Amino acid sequence: METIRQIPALIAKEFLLEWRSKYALGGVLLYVLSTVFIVYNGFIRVAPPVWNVLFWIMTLFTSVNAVTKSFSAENGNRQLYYYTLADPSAVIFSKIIYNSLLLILLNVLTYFAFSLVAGDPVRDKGLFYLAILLGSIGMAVTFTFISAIANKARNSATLMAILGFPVIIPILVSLIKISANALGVITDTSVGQDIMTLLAIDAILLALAYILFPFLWRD
Amino acid sequence: MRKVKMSMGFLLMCQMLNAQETQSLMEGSGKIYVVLATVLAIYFGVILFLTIIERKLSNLERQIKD
Amino acid sequence: MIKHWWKILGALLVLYAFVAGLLIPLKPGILDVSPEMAKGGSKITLDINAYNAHLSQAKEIGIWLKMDSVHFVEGNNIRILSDNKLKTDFQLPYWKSKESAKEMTLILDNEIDGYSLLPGAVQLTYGAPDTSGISSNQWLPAINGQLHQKEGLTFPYRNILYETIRNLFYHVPLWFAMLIILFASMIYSILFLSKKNQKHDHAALALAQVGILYGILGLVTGAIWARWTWGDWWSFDVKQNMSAVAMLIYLAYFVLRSSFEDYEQEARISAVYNIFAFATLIPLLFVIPRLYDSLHPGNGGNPGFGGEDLDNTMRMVFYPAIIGFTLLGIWLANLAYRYLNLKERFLDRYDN
Repeated sequence: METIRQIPALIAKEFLLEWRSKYALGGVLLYVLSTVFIVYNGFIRVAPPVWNVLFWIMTLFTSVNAVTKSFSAENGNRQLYYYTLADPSAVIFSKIIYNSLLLILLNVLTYFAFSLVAGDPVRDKGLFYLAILLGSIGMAVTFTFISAIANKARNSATLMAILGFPVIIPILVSLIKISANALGVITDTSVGQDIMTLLAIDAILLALAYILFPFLWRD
Repeated sequence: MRKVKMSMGFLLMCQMLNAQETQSLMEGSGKIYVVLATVLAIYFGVILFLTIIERKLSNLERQIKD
Repeated sequence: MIKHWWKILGALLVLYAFVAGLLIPLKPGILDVSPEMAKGGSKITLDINAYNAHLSQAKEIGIWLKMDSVHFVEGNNIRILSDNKLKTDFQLPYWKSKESAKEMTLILDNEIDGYSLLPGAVQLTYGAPDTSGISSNQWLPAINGQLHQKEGLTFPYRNILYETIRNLFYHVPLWFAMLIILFASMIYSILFLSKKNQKHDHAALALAQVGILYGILGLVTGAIWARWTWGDWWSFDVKQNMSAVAMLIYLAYFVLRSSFEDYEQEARISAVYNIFAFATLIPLLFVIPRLYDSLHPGNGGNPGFGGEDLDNTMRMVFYPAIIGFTLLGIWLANLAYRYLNLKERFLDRYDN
């Protein structure tokens, strides 16, 4: 009960921090826009299959950029302070929920910006938003957890990429397949099964993050 | 230097594998040489692992002696 | 000696896999025929190349072309050129469809080699009474006589695969053994987190090292096999790609281990990552390949090894090979584990 009560407070804290250091969010937004612009300049006309892959690659890099700092932004002393106040599972859940919300926002924004310059080939909007939702949650869970691991080691920025990218591939591959369905690139009757698969992967990773985070926590 | 030599050897091996003769060798005799290559790959992999442990152990022995 | 029983068992099983896997012969089969296309109603001479057959010793050789289960035509005037080569004449029935050719299966039977099939051996194209003057054969409703079964132990004959079907005993068990070993590594990581015993961490590390060795060997043997059956070292098959990604995940484990100064922290955090890595390995190797078409058997509509391909003779070698390679891997891991323990003990003593 205590844990659940702590989560909203911690999420509010995350928002407050984000708001205070506006440069971080601004940096990510700028990153999204400039990537979209570069991709647009490079391709101009984008065929739906390419659009699909490009979109997910852009969201992947945006997500890494946005989530990496979730542990490194706060210094050791401040983290120590949280440890004395809050439950570890409350901390990881609040970070994951906050990062999920942030990524959903950023990815929808990427979608709007990208479809503005490169056209919008999405036919099944509902399915595509569902893919963005599940993808954002999956990436938030994975990258939050990986950044918690990488933050403990030396040169954590490099480690973040080395640890994070291979681990995200199962999620990314199933996302690309689901959104290919939404774009009408492939028609697949088993799309419901794909969504269940993605949901299951998300759930397993979330459960693991919950179980394992206390071990990363103390030192 | 040793690594350079090893990778040169590997490149040379690839060159050999691309040759026409090797092609017909591998395709011939019911492709039994493909099986041979597979078995050899496993053999050398295991030997490589043993060599690495061997070298680490030797290093440790030397450190303990000093 | 008694306490090393599992090492002896592992060595013996691997030896058995090598010896039995390489020595049991392939079932005789048909390599190819020429011509591969014939007009309905025409008389053709078919050259047949067999594999592993004993045609010159055989007495009751029968050859048929089969259109479906009630349409056969028998080859006559069989001339044996060598153990694996023969010529035979066929008087083909008419084929009255102009649009589509009909694929016929070749059946070759003798009392030594048993019977063998080559599906789609000859394409029967349009040929009707008005186009050719010669009188034609009628279809037989069934083959006359009984087909023979090959006696003794053999592995199944498959076109394109040929002898490389034996790779099933070397390539596939490596992956099974890798999974078992990485699973054990994860268990030791969990044990380490709950008991804080350094030895558990050493065991997890040693097992992960062997796991990645097996994974890389699995990729290499797979590439060799693929080169001469699918035509390329790397076919960007979904299973190949996902296995490569799995290797990256575990290579990252070693990178992670090397980026700590404090041993306690290194052991704890890499144990956490190891558990996480195994959890992502399962969807990578078992779930994602199901979403895509794959050249591997058992995926994307391909028949799995397990039906006709994995017959009882193959199982007899395949399952022991899995156990053998697993035990061999545990032996290798055991060496690495003992090295790590020694290092920890002596370096600690010298540091203090």
